[in-house]
Amino acid sequence: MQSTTTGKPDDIFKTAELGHGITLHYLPETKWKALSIDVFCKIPAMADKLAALSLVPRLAARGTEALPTVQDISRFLEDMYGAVMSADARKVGPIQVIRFGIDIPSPSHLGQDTSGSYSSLVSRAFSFVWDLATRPKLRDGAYPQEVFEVERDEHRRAIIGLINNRPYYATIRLLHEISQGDPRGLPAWGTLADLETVNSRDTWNTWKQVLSQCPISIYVIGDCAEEVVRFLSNYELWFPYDRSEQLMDISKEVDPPPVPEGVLRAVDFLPGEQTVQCMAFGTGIREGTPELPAMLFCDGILGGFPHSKLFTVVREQHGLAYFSDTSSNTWRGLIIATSGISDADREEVERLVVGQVEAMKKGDISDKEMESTRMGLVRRLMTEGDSQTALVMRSLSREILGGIATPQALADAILTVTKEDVVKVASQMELKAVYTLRAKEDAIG
Amino acid sequence: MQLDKQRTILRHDILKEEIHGTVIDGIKVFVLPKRGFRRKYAEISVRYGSNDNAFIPNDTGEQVNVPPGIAHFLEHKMFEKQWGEAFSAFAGLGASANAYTANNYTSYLFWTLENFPKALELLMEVVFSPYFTDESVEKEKSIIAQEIRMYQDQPGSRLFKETLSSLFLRHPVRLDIAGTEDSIQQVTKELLYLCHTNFYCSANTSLYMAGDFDREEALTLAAEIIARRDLKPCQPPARIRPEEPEEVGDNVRITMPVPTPLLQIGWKDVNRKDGRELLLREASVNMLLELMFGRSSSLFRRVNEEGLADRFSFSYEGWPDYGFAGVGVETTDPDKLMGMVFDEVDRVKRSGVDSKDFERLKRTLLGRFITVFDSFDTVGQLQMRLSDIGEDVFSYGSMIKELDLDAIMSGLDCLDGRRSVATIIADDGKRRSGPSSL
Repeated sequence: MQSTTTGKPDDIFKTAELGHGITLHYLPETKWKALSIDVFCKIPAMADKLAALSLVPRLAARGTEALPTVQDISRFLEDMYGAVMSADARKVGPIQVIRFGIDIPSPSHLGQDTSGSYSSLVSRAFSFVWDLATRPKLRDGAYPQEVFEVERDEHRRAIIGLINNRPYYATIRLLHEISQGDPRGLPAWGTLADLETVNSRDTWNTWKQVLSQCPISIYVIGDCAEEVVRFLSNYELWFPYDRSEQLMDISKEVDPPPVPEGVLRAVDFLPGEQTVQCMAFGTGIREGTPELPAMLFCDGILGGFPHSKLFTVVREQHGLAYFSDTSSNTWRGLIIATSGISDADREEVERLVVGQVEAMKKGDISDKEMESTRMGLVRRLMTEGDSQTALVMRSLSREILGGIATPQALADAILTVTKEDVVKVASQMELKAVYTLRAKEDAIG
Repeated sequence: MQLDKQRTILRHDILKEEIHGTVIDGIKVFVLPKRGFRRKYAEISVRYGSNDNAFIPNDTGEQVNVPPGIAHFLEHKMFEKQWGEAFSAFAGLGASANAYTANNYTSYLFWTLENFPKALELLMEVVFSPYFTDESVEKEKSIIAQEIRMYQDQPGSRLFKETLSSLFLRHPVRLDIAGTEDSIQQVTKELLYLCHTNFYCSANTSLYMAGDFDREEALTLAAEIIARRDLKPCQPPARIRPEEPEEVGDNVRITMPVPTPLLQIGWKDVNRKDGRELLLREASVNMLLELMFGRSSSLFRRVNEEGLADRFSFSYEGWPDYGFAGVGVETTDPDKLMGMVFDEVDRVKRSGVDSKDFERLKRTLLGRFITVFDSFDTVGQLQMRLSDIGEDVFSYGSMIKELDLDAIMSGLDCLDGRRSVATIIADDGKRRSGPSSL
């Protein structure tokens, strides 16, 4: 396959265009003991196809042409020194991303244990990943029916089971409410209702069609990454359908669903010990806009760290929560505050959280808060360089959503943010939604 | 400052990793240089955990019983100082701090890009300079109560705790690490000082540092900081453990609003080991569990094909005074799966394991041993724990290579059905106004 190395100066990954919308990103680095290979298929979210496509990685993990059963795959991975397979579906902004990957111990650390050469291990690892994506176990041109049904059941249970992690579930429900049915805001699995309508043949047909048209990024990171590059230079990337000349455009629809007017409120009840309250604040700042570093400051000062306002006020001063923190959703331009509290304290905690946002708007931000947050954000960004996964996910996110290229570049931008910049963004913060997962039924209605 | 002249250098040539160890004023100190990494990491581990609820202080010689959960309570309060709150002080240095309490250890840690010496000095102050007031102790009770409730709402956490509570009749591992909302009400400032004085002493403490720094500079820095604490030589108190019978409690069924039932089976290991034998026991039973319940096992294939479950979780945990193995699974039919698990154990006891399967899993363990070095904290926690039983991280790696089928099969006595309990968590099936569908 033809390859062209471009080597963008603003990216820590080297890149090579493999043709037909397939880009190889690789980073040879000896400090890690694992070699990580990931294939990401990037698909504009299509409401009617999300559910089927989200099943694809599960079905791939059930068997390939070469390794037709779970047991065969597991034994292959064990033979590869406990290699770890990844196969999942996620959303990066509005784009559905289907991932197939493998992490193997770096061949250079296996010493005399290596059965065969480095290149043999590397080629087996990559071929396996590519088979997961393109050559699943089929019967008569469809996923085997019994496998399909089992995986649909497991998938459904996994989705419903998200409720076992209440804070995470509450965040998903909050975003669900905010999206108000807009397909761009749907989660990676689409809807449970759609999951019931898909079938094994259509799912395979949809996948091979999508596979011929979607942009693909291959990431290779770690010691021996160049072995993979060498291997790829002579490897024919096979597809069930030939790659189309007309690729899907993933840059067309990157805007998030509009945030509704007013403050949206939703409540669910699930018996338990602790109520979880999620509050979304719109900022109007998104990935790629110049104010993004200041927005990250707002998140950090309000609730991103143990020195933040919510930890200090809600937990330490008032003793109302064990956790009360924030995270930022830079695609939607939201800062989301999540607290685990007694049901009776809902209004008090909401008042405190809103109060801290109001304080930021008034400029009630100390120099210590500014500097601690600055150092915390820089630390967070720069230590991404220690994690293969973090580096890959930041680069992938940038491919899709744009924005600042490297952790270093964003850290540099963080260094220039002033208190005035932060107050300016804070003044745009507006409570848009409150979702409460209440634990006590007797307190309702 | 007393710097132990005996320097231990642990080295793995193929992995190109070295851990330097020494003893400074009674504290075991380990350094793992990690070239090319940005993060600098330090962790102080005190050999004191939720199991240490009864002890005999060296000064009085009389047994003291303290409320369950006090070790965890103490961990929370160690971040409060007369001058303010230590989390913010770490943040002011650019460091992120955290702490956790386990059954046998309490650990305090930070990671940072800059100001490592100052952050290390602060970490030492957090651990060795307690400051408690009645008011702050009272306030902490409501925070910890919320933490207890948070874990009570996590089905996986609840499943594990309930299994241990039934598996052990007297040993304190049966108690929740955080205690209960009632037990923490009994915690006072005086009791916190008592526990700190007795257990937070140098001979009961390890320090681990990892990052891209010169090992000699790191050891010298640690020596200087430890010397400034002026720690008095001390020994931890005798720990009192009730005699644990071989018997176990009843199976447990719990009602929680879970979409799919959860099953956990636990086996109490009555075969006590220490030192290298304990390490070998842990590796052997863990490998057995992998052979029986891992994704390449014949049982998993059947369970998966029948749509009963799509993964098992399993582990063995061994300490000189107790041990247990556990298998957990989320399944539509917990009773059927329970039978299949016990049948599989019986089958392996009768038929043994295939040598090819064994060799493949040895390679897996070897690979996991290699990649664990990408995780600073895991290596440190492993090293500090292993040093307490006279072993080290690299000896664990070499032991994996030496494992043979006989050693593996000797672990089977741990999985004795007479010393097992099962916990099932399931919904009560009542209709209620549940959360909106996704």
